This record gives sequence, structure tokens and C-alpha cells, in this order.
Amino acid sequence: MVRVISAIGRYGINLVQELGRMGLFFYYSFLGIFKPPGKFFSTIKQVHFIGNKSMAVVSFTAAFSGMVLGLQGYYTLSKFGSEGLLGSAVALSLIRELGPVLTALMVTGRAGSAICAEIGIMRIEEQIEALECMAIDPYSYIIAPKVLGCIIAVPLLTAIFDIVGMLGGYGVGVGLMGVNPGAFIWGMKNSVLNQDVWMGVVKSFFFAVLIIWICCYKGFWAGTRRGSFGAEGVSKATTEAVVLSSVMVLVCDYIITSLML
Amino acid sequence: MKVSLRQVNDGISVIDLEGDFDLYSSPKAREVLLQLAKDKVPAVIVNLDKVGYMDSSGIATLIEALRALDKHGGRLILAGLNAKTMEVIKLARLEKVFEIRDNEEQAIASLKS
Amino acid sequence: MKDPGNMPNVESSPLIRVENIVAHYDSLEVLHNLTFDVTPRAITVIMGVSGCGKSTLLKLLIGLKKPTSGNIYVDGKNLVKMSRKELDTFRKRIGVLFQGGALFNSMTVGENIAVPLRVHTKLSEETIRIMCQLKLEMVGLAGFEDFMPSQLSGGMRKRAGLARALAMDPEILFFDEPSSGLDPITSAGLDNLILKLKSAFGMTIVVVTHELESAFTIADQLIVMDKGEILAYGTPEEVKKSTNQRVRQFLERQPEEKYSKDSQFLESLLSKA
Repeated sequence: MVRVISAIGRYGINLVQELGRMGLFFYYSFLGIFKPPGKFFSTIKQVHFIGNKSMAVVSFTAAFSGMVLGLQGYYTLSKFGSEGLLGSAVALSLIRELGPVLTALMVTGRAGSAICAEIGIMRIEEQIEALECMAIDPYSYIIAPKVLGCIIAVPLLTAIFDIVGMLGGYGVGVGLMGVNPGAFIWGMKNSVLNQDVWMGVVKSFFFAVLIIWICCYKGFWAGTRRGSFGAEGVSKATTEAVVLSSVMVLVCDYIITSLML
Repeated sequence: MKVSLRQVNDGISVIDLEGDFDLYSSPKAREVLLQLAKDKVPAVIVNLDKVGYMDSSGIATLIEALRALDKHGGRLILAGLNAKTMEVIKLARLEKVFEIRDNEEQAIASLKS
Repeated sequence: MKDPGNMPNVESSPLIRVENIVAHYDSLEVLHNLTFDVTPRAITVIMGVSGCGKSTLLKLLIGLKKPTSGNIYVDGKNLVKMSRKELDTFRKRIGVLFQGGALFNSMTVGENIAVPLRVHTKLSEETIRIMCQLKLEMVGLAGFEDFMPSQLSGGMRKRAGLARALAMDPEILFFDEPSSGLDPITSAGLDNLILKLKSAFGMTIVVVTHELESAFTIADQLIVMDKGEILAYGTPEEVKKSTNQRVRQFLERQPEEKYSKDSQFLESLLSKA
């Protein structure tokens, strides 16, 4: 019985420690954005890495998501004779929910895991210590450009997701299921309001911060905890990063939706 | 580090350096030297007798100046090196690459010949 | 890289003075009250078996870890009490070669060496390029500036890492197990390079290693450690004459003998049966 309580207690303490470390990590990374060296070129490099390399995955996912929305939406709406609303349904679902969330999940899997592994390998090869010994702040040199790059790339990718998704929905709804193209487009134009687009933007921004924070944090401290040194530590960190990021994106999604609705 | 430029007879430019020729002061000297090279000055003497310490950035600056002057056939002579700065040149195995004289007068003399 | 011409003067005041340091990992005490000096313009080798605490000691000397108690004086200033800014100033005077070289994988060798120069100085690209060539020349890797780290062998990676550590012309160099992962010939080459850095550039060098041959080849001052304590401290000749049993064991490369007689060993086996 005592063992159970001490196990719970230990878990609690570890959790609080972890949250504290993550908080400090966020703080140092934030400060690192404003410290020298200059961030312009390194940020562009990161935007390319996160944005450019996720384009294919995002477009592909968007197309099929949009197409599925078209199908399912048509099926449901036709029961009420409201096929004309398909445009609205597809557009609003994408812009308010699926665009930000699915983009975030795809980027986590594609770029987030890669970044976590990259930083994790730097940690186990002592490259981060090497930077510190050269009087270079690793938060400023390594982490901050990634944070800035992610905050720029993810909302842009979300926008691309929305558009490709709507094209997919149009393709299936109008092309396949025979919905009136005018009705489809008119529905889209009419029901999508500023606040819907704004919701999508706010979500994608917060998701971006979440993803890069968690993935960089896990990578930065990879292999430094007991029981997971070296390469095993990196793989463990990467798995944890992807899982935690994905879960937190969904949790955050609910919170933001309930706050903004 | 202080960098001062003056002319002696026959269009020979002399740069007097005073202080430490290191990572933080090299850019100043570099600017002056490269400007002289741009102006296609026929000969430059770098007077190092008041330089106590020179590191690899100093050497790199001198190498760059040598190459830049060499493009139009200009000459670069280092003068007044003390034991330490001479050691630095030797360690980089550049004592045969640069023209080196003990002082400014000898440098001017070798230019005239 | 100041004062290159003088021979190492063992009598001159120590550059680094370590006083009574105690270090812990969580609640485990790993260094027990160590005191020693690092003489300037000389090679100090810290030697011991794996787990004796020498890597921890190195981390303390370069400021990556703080001791639980005690002081580390560098040129009179206490490293333990330094502010972030003072620590940065100290780190610009030192170079550290980590095991494996710790090169940044996404950059070429030349770009690696240029990193501290680009961050800390306003030197032009051309000056930096020439400096990188000079450093590569110094470590015997002339012409390799456009190679990626993954294209280099282990020994070459260490040399490249060393070139980067030398980029800012440091006064003090730290080596973490320089011979690890190297064959004897490459290791000897690296030893020669370390000796050259001391004699030609007058650098103060601290080497942490467990390789006996390397240590005795390069050391001016030897510190033998075991289980977080200093067992022997002096010139290589003095250490060779040590009568401490654990030191002799280490020097004569004898594995730990738990049982001095075969009969005792058999007994222990049988008692467990």
C-alpha cells in the first residue's frame, strides 16, 4: 500500500519537475530569440526545412481529407435534402477544425520528429556542450530559429491545407456527386465568416508553438535521463515528442474552440 | 589598436599599427589595407614595431592584403616584428611568403633597389 | 595565443587553481575534496580508470557543472561565482575538444571552424576563410574545409574538432579522452600535435585520459585519480615512484584481484552452489 502511494508521489514529483523544466526551456528559448547572433538566414533555413519539406505530406493529406469530407458531407446532407450546403460544410470544417489540426499532426510527424531527433543527436554527441564551451547560447543559436521558422511555416501550411482540401471537396461534391457548382461556391462564400478564419489562424499559431516547444525540449534533453542514454535515448525522446505533441494539439484544439466559439 | 596611414617618398604608403593585432582589431587594419590595394598603390609597408601581440586573424588580414596588392603587382613589406610576432609568422610557415625587414628604413631601402 | 616563445616555467603562478572541490550527482558524492593546480604553458594530464570522476572534474573546470562546494580560480577569479558574462569571457579564452569531436553534422569542416568566429567577431568572410585554412594547416587537415564531418574518419574528426577549438586562439585547451576510438598510430599523431601546441604556441593544456602511454608521453604534470580522489600528483617520474597500491595497480595495468589465491576463488564459487 505504501509502495503505491510513494509511486504516485514520485510520479507527481516527476511531473511537476518536467513541467518546470519545460517552462524554463520555453523561457530560455524565448529570450534566445532576442539575443545575438542574427536570426534572419537561420530562420529562413528552418522555414524551408519545416514548410517546404512538409508540403507534399500536407497537400496529399488535405486532398484526401477534403474528398472524404465531400463524400461524407454529401451523404449526410442529402438525407435532409440540403446538398446545396455542401460547400459551407466542407469549407467550415476545414477552416475551423481539420485544417489546423491535421496540418499540425502532419507537421509533427514529418518535421517535429526530425527536429527532435536532430537536436537529440546533437545532445548525445556533446555538440550542445561544445556550443556552450564556445560561449554560444544553444537556445539562441539552435532553438530560436526553429521556433521562429515553425511559427511562420505552420500557419502558411494550414492555409495551403484549407485550399487544397476545399478543392478536393469541390472535386468530389461537384465533380462526382453532382452538386451544383454555383451552390457549392456560394455556400462557401456565405458561411465562412472572419471569425472562422481567425479561429483557424489562432489555432495554427498555438499548435505551431506547442509542436516546436515539445519537440525541441524532448530532443534537447534526450539521453540525459537515467535508463535511456545514447541512441536509445534519442529514439525514446522522438517517440515521446510525437505522441505528446499530437495529444496536446488535440487537447489545445478543444480548449481554443470552446473559448472562441 | 591604432591604425595610422602616412606617405613617404615615391608613393610608398606606410601603415603604423599600435597595440594588439587580434580578432577584435583586425577589421580596422583590413579596411585600410584593402583600400590601398583598391587604389593600386605600388608598395605598402606595415610597421609592426608597436604591435605586442598578433594572432591568426592578424595573419589572415596580412595574407589577404598581400594577395590583394599582388593582383596589380604591388608589394607588401612587414617591418619591425618583435620575437613574438615573428614566432607567430614562423609557426604559420609564412616567413618565406612575406617580405620581412627589421625596420622601416630597411624596408624603404629594399623597395628602392 | 599570447607569449609563444617561452619555455614552460613550472615555477610560475598557476593559471587554474582548484581548491577543495566536492561534486555530487544527485545525492551521490563523486568528487571528494580535490585540490590541485594547473601550471600555465604546460600539459597537465588527469588520469584514472573509467568512473573515477575525471570526466566530472573536466566538466567543473570548463564551467559545465558547478561543484557542491569548493573553489576554482582562473587567473585569480573564482569560476564558481562567475556571472554569465564573466563565464562567457572565460570561455572565449579556452578551447575544448570533446570525445568524437562534437562537430556540427549539417556543416562542412570549414563552416564548423568558422562558427565561433562568425558569432563573436566582426571579421570579414575572407578573413575567416583564411583563418580556417590556417587552423586546418595547424592540425594537419589542410584542404579539408569543404568536407562534411560524416566523410571523415574518427581521427580526422577529432583533428577538425581541435581546429574549431583553436579558432579563437585560446590560451587554455581541454581534451576529453583524445585517444578514445583511435588506433595507436593515429593516437600517437594526436599526442605529437598536443606537444607541438604546447611548445610552439605556449598553450596551457589539460588532458583527461585513461591511456597510460599517451599520458606519460605528453604530461608535464600528472594527476592520478580513483573513486573521486587524487591518489598521486606530480611529474611523471614522481608518479612512477609512487608506493600507493592502487596507483601501482593502475600503472602496471593489473585488473582488480578480488582473490589473491586460486583456492579462495574456488571456495567462493562452491559456497554459492
